[in-house]
Amino acid sequence: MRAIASAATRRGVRVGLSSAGRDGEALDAVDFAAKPRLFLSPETLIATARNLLPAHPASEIVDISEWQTAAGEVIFARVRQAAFYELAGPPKASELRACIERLGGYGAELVIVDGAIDRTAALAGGNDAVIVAIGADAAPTIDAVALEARALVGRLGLQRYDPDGPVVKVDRVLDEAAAEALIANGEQRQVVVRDPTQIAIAGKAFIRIAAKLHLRCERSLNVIAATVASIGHERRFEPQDLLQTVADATQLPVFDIYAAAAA
Amino acid sequence: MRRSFRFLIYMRLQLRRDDVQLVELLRFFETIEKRGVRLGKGARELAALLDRGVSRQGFYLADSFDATLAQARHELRSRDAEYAKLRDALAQRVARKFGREIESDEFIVPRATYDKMQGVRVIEEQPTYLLCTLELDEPASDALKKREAAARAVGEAEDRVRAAIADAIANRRPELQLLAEALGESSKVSQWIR
Repeated sequence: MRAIASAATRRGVRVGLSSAGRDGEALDAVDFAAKPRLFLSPETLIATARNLLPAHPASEIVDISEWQTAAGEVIFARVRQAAFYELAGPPKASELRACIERLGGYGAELVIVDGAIDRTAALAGGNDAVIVAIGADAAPTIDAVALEARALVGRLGLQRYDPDGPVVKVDRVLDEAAAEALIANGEQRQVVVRDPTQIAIAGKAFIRIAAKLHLRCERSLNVIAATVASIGHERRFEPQDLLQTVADATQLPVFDIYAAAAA
Repeated sequence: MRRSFRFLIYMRLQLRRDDVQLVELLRFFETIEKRGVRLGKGARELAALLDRGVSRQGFYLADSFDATLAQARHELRSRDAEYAKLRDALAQRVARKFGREIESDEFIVPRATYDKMQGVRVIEEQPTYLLCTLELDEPASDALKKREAAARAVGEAEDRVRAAIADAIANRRPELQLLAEALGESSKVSQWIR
């Protein structure tokens, strides 16, 4: 998010930022690791929890939402003086969707939301782009990481179903057991889920099942790129190898932000 | 004595002295007027005071609230520009050596590549990366100190403006309470003004 926001700001694009979790804090909320704070330039629009807005320098308060977080309601604000900010956006997918639209309405030309995969449902069916981030901790070898990335991109990038063709709609999460049952029944119709986040199958299992079923969705996601981190908590990979292998596996532009490399 | 009295008023009014609460108060006045209730003299004065902060899309603790705030912000912008010029020159030097952009005052460097970097100071070590900042030379360090002092002055000036607004609210509490009663529980202001 930082890299995209920073590049967009340098090009004079008005940026809107929020988070499907929490971002910008000095210590990670999950593992308490120190991390860089989020330094924002004037004119950046943000959607964040009321109690996370810094008292100084004052921000322009653009609007107050009805969405509640653990740190107070979500506030739309504009940065007037460059400073460090923390972001915590609305907790529900439907609220996040509305939040993105409101940031656009307040003048953001590019809205960037950082968050976990299970929150991307909010983006389904819109004009949004998804950038997946994958790192060395995802699997023990470069090939295995690339396979995980390929499966993830394949899952998130499910095509929209053909309404003129035969379909079987799945109204709940499609897990491996349910998918295997469909395969065992010789299912040839399009298997349609609401959006790609409704498929709870990852890695090799997804690739195998996707080869046997016509998996489709009602509201699709637009995956446009991936980022890789070659150094994890448990292992590190040769950066260029990881970059190229993930690019080959996903057929997407892939970026290593730390190494300033692309494939 | 005056300070503790003021604190008690804030506590009683549940004034958080954040700017969001001032937006709530502005909306409260709008709602009152939409309902055809005429604001009294005190409320009109308060609305006029807050109007100074009404911006194109919302509310900002604008320079027009207080001349010293405007002056402090002007000083901060100058100090910011001085520091940014020196810092950017250092960042570019490091970026050229390292082959990556230094986008912010805090950034991550993977452990494996840290030994190549010069002009960088480690703030915190993590198993996989180092949280770093630029090593400032003396002119940049002096400029940063001046920038930080200017930022503190802006913070103090903003607090003085907020305190003055809070005083203005506290002084009109009886009138605001009557308006809040007229509006009922639907307004957030009704909840904190009682």
